[in-house]
Amino acid sequence: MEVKLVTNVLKANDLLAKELRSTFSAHRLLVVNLMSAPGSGKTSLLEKSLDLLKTEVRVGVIEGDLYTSRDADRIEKKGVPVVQINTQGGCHLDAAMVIRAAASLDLAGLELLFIENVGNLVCPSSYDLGEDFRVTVISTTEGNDKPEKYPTMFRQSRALVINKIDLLPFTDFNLDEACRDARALNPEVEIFPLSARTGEGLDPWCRWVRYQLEAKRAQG
Amino acid sequence: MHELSLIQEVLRLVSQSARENGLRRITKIKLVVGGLSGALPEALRFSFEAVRASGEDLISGAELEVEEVGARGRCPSCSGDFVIEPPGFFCPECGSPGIIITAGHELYVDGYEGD
Repeated sequence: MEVKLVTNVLKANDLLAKELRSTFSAHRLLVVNLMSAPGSGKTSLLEKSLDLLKTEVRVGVIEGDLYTSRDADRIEKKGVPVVQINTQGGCHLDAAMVIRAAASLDLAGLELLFIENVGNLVCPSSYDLGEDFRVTVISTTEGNDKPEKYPTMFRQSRALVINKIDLLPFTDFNLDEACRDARALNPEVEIFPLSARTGEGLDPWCRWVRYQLEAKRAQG
Repeated sequence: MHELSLIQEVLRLVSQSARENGLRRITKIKLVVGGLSGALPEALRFSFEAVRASGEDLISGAELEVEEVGARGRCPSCSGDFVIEPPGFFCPECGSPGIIITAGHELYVDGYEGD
């Protein structure tokens, strides 16, 4: 007997992501899935962005990490609601994990939710978390070949943050080349070169996030 | 990537369907994997062997067939249809970067055979 299934292997995740997306929309919440390699500075970017955003916007954070709660501890110090997910070695967050984490947040009291994915430029790109859009972070110390090496991640991102520009003089990172390669993969991508350490370039990034929030509200 | 968990999901989907169809033994599973899916056919086969060996009777005799689908794109500027060779995500005819991917993201169970 031959049986035709034609079923997506990630169907179970996609169904849960759909459920998340409708929960998030019911709360009129903008959800950003933040992805990068380990050490690009996702948590530092969040810390600095929260300083600028939290006075005007009610922000929450879901932190993904393999084993520790170090990232959530850092975010908690900013006085915003945060939940830590530990994947126990897993290489990505999936929608089921986000559903469990979201259950311990007061979604009705939030306007913006950042989900910091596990540091990995490959696997997280396959898992829809019900987000409005994805943002990829790279840093100048990683070299500027990351867009070409990990095309899927960059093609799926609405914005690219290039962190650690304060270290540009000490690296061979070519900012123009990185921007050109990212735009070759994704012509619409917004690019924000910044330094989470010095704060340079953070304003345009945070303004853009607020604009995305307004745009989502205007959509109803 | 995480081929082991993908294979576990494949076997879960297929076993559930086989039980619903009253089958006792699955002989073949056909998986379609695109070149941009991030899943490597070789790692999928390796994971399949490992899971099957420790699996129940329903799947212990199954073989895995992987159909690989190459990445293809279409260009909205010149209507060209072409093979994508990563990292070159641009139209080879006119050089435009805003291409539409028409094949390569597939990762699905096409079907299975059993008795």
